[in-house]
Amino acid sequence: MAQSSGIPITILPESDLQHFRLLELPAELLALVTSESPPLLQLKSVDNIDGTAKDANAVLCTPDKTFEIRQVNTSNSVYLTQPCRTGDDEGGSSDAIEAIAKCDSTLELTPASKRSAVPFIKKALPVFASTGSYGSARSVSKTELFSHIPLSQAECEEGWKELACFESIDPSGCFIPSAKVKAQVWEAAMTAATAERASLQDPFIVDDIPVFAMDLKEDWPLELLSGVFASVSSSTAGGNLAIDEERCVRFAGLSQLEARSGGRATDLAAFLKAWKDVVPETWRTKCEISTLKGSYNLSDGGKSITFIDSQTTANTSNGGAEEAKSALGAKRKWHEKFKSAKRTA
Amino acid sequence: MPTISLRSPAADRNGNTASNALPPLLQTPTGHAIIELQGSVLAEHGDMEGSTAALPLGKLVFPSADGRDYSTSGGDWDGKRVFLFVGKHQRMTGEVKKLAKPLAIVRRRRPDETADDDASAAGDEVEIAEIAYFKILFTHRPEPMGGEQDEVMLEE
Repeated sequence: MAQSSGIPITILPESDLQHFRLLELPAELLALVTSESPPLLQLKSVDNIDGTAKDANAVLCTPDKTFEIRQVNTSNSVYLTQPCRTGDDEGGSSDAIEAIAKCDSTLELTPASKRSAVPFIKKALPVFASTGSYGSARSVSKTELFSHIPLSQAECEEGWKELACFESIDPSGCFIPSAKVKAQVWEAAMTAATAERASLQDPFIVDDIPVFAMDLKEDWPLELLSGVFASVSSSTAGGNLAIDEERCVRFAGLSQLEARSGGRATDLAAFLKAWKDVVPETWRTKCEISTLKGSYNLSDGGKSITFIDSQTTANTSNGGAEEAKSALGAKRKWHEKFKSAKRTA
Repeated sequence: MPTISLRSPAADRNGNTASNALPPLLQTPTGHAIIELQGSVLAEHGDMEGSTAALPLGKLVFPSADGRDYSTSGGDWDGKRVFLFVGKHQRMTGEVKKLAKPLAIVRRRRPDETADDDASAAGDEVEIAEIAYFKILFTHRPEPMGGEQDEVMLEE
């Protein structure tokens, strides 16, 4: 009789069942976790950018990618088993297996569409103003900030760099420099570089600033300066940073535009001139508004330009006033959307 | 903390000392395997919730191509079919399926294991205990078995 020689299988009583979850591994993730030195993965919960938990969800992050987690329930009985010894009818014992857990759902992973960490950072951090004020809001450490952003470490870093954020010790916490600060720092850096006839693209050490900019430390905190220089630079093969033409031109343009515009239309020609004045001679031809696509609106027959925040509708860069505006809801945003079109008409 | 660390499986994991009776294809370092039944298990005496004893579900048989059992035929399993004999009068036919996406078996990390680990202070941690590449899947309804088992049935 066949069943006398089979492997006995038992199910532990409900109270003894352990808790396990089953997580589907896409090929990419499987390769990661089975590699020689698997990285630490992170499970992060998602809060909406406006703080509501409306579509609260969870994501799984590898060091540089984000996966959305979806729980799929099954009506089947899925048991997790392990080998055990069991007594058989004849008083001896034999190899058997026992079900130690019942899993009613599986977690599916789908690669998340690329999202920027910028809106999350803007929401969380106070602004460092050109007056030297660190803002009144309570700030957090960089580690804590990133732990609240449902994106991978690399994606968080990218947003951090884009905004030229910096972490300071006194006062402790992280801050985003205002556009005005960024524009001022960059102008001063260019002036210093020109005065010293320094080569802009020489590599410098991460978390530090190029030699030509050392005098700037008298006017601004070093952390702020290194944040700005990191923002305009990219990594070199040697593990250092070097100012990158594309990032630099974009940074200079955006900070100039945001600082000059401040929510209102500003003269396009004057802006372009100011922009060209703060990039090295040889890069001036790159200063075209198409570089800043998505960050501006043209009005007044193309003579005026307005900075718009491409990253987020809940623009917090101007502090309280903007926040109050977004709180008015979708109706108000509707007006904002067509504001510029109306003016030209 | 809204962030929880998820550890990858340890390369030298082997949690279970009992020898694994399953065919090598289904064996994993920790011995974990996944069995899926389409339907649910109902115990004859009362419901399972009240019970404190393990419920003997039945016996798994891995037949060889010529109909003999895997465990007696010395590893000569056909690599696909599985029978589950439930009680004395039901037989379910199932198969071993390769998972299109392998399943990570995830559990909360035991605190004692992390005692000398730097990360233990970070709070909650979960770990991938094992990765399963196959599962045993029973999708067919149980078939009645007649013949010599009938008398056993009557005893119950």
